Amino acid sequence: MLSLLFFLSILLTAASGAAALALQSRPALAHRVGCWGQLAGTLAGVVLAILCLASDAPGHLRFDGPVPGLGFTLRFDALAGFFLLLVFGLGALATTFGLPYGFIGHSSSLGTRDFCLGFFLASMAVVVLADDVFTFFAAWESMSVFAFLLLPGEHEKREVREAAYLFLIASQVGTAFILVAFLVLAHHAGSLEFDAFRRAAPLSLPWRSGIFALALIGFGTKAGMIPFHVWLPKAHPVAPSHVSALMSGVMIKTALYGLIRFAFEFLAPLDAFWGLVVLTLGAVSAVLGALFALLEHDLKRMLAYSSVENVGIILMGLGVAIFFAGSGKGDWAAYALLAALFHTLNHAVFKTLLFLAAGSVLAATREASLEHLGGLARRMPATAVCFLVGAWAISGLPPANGFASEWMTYQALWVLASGSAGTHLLGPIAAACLALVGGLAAACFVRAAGVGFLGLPRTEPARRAEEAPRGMIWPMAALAALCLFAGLAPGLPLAMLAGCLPRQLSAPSLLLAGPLGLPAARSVEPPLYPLAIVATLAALLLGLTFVRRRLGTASAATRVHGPWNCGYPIVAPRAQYSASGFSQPFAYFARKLLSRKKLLDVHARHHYSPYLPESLVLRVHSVSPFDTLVYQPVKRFVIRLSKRVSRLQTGSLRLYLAFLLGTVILLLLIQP
Amino acid sequence: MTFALDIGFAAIHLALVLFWPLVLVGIVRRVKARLACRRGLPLLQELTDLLKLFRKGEVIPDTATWVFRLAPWGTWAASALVALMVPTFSWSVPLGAQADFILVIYLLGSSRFLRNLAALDTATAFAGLAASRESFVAALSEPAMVLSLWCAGWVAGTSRIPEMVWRFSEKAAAELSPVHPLILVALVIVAIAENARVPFDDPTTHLELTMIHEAALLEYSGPGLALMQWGAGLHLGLSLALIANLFFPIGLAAPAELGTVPLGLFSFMARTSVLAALLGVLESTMARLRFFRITDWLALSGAAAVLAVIRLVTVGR
Repeated sequence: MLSLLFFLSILLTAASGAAALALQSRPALAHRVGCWGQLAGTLAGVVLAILCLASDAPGHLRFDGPVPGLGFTLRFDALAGFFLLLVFGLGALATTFGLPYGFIGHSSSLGTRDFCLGFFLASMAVVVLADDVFTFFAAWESMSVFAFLLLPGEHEKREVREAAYLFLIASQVGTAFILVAFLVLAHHAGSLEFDAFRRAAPLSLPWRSGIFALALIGFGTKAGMIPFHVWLPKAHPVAPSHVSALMSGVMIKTALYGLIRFAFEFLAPLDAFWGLVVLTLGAVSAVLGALFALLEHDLKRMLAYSSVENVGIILMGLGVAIFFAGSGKGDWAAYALLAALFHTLNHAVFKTLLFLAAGSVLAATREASLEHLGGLARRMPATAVCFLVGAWAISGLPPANGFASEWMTYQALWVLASGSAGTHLLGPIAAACLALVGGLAAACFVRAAGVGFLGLPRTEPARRAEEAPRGMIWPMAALAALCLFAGLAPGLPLAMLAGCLPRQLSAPSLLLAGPLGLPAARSVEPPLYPLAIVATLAALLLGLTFVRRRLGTASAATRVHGPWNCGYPIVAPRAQYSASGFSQPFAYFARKLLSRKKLLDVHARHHYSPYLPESLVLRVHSVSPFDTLVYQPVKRFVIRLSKRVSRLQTGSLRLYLAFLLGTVILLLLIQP
Repeated sequence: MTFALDIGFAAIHLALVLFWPLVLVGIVRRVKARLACRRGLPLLQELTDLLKLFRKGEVIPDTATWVFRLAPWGTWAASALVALMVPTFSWSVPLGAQADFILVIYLLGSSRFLRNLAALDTATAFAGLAASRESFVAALSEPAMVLSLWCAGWVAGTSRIPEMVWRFSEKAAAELSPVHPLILVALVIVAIAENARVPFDDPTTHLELTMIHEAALLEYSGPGLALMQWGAGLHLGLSLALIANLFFPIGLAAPAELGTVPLGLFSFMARTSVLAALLGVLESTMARLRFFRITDWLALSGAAAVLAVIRLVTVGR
């Protein structure tokens, strides 16, 4: 049954992509075939994911490859099922959104794009199901390659091409680290199968720590962890919006999946210190990601930076989980991992929602900069409501789902602080970082929603924007409903996630507090009931309405009139607070960190006086410290090295043959 | 019988959190007026103002959407919900089991989120300025607030505010941990910042360009303005109640014991009145800070909270 569903979903998503490529000469038909086929495939995949989640024992699927030892092995267990649910569930919604969205955007390359999207989805599914190194890498590389091919939607722009190549380089560098980690493990276990890794006797601590560091760098690069994040905010926004949604919502989660598998299954027993490293990196990613998001004008790039922030929050939970697993406190480790997985789910849902809403705005206005938007809540009411729900959830405000998982992360940090001596200080400091992240994220999304959707339209395209077609609205509405549902009844997703925990951390039933409750980390504390909070809120509002009605008089009517604006009669779109004005205090506060430089160009008409300028141009230039301190030196080193190596490339065939011969002789000499 | 008593306690608590802040606002104003050699308004002027505003009509800017209309209700309700979770005359509160300090901080954040959205909704420059500045102050004060309540919770061994108050009220003043003064400093600075009071913001300023909180309310009138003002009053009231009960938990009524209620009520009113009077004195004697100097004070608050953490780590509770 599982294997049948697996083949059905993979073949449908991939084959419909291939069909779309074949029908490329008729873009509209190709796109329809591609989307409907992928929708069917992803729905079959959702069923497969649910079956995986519900199964008690992991199921296996094996094929023998052409070479002995290089077969394909798949494993259907609950953890894979959860990530499969993200891939296929969000994939289904994104494909549904993509059907009408594709017709609005570039229609020339529709078939190619659907082909890549189908294979991208199928590869992500195989990544989370893979159970041997060969299968994993085949899928992982094909995921990266198809993601790369999906990026240059507007490849005639220079920065789009640069972003795509940066993405490819970052992927390859990350993959290299993971590959080394896997090969060391495989060498030790004597097999490429993950099951052999699980059964093998544990390596010595320095070896395990080294492998963990490699895996953390490799998967951290893919997940956008700071300082390996530079490619993410450049690459994700240049893809078509529903693909950006899948990249930020799902693809970076496959890296977290890999990290969880490595930490809890291949490298057990864990060392508590690794957890503290992950926690620190997570806190740094979260704070800096939120800060950079706040300073970004481009709606989609802002969302990409916010993915860096949320990956940071997930890593904080994961770090606490690794710490507790390493210090032998299984149920607290289970709680912290539950917090991390719950935030993974929540971030996938609201980030997909926000990217789809951004896509809807982009389709309607062709403007991505917040400075050119405004007033969209009147022209596109449904998109605006969906974006607001997403903004509310991602800012971690109750009762939406973002609050639920952030609260659990706080709880995990709370018990971390009561743990052993060395972590006393780290718990509260990380909690303070999380609070700062909450404040910055709230500011960031007030700005995005307020400047982008409220107020007056700032440009002509924003003034003429039309609401998205219904086919694009309802995937967003479904995601918005999911945000509220997971926030109000957090017990249901948590019960699902509790089944995904690694075996050594089986969640005690007392961790779970019914379908409506949000359990506290220490079982002596009562759970939080978001629904009770909402009910009290409703009761208060009802009472207030009653008071208002009793006090109100018949003559007191509500009138709509031009804003008072302190007596200044003209309200102009240009006079509104801009997005850069909104974030200016933050930019000033963090000026040392960002090394911002302001350049004012004065073009004077009259040579005798600069005080009568014809035009003024203010350019604000900010350099990321990671760029100057880390990446530029590395880049210079690589270029210098390549120049040295290129001396070997003389173009002389005889010399190349000599190299080959030399290598063969060398290998024969080395071989024992 | 105990059920009826619980209901009675909850009713007193509700009345106290909803209406006592209006008196506290009056006390602050009266003290400031007296220090400026003026006679001052009646103590219940805020209530009279609210009643009048509720009877008036409302003018909605034509630039605004439903967000602007919804915001006063949401802002008020979120503040009122938090007020229900903070103990007043007794340490037991109706929503005690839910009164986690992180939830409290994030509910106040929700209230602010709505207010700032509504400010940007008016499309006027002053309101946008208010939203930006308020977000800035809030983002920087939230870590200090989390840290200081974290320390208080750590000393008490719980993350819920009513239980913290109960644990502290059980102890004699001398037994209180030496971290208490540090937490008090941190929390007072944060409370002043979040309530938009001098030296962070001046609620009585008439110059729009220097406003933080008030500029967000410029376009509100009638019932909308009433709810916004009342919500701000609730926030002030709950901040003072939190400080009074966490650091000076004297004479709190025990749950379901009717005899202790009069003393509890008197003690609560006296303690919060004194704090309100002190706030009035502070506002009259200090100058406002330049906007970018605000960070220094918030850093001071954060430093006090970090010192408290370090003391707890090295010496223990």
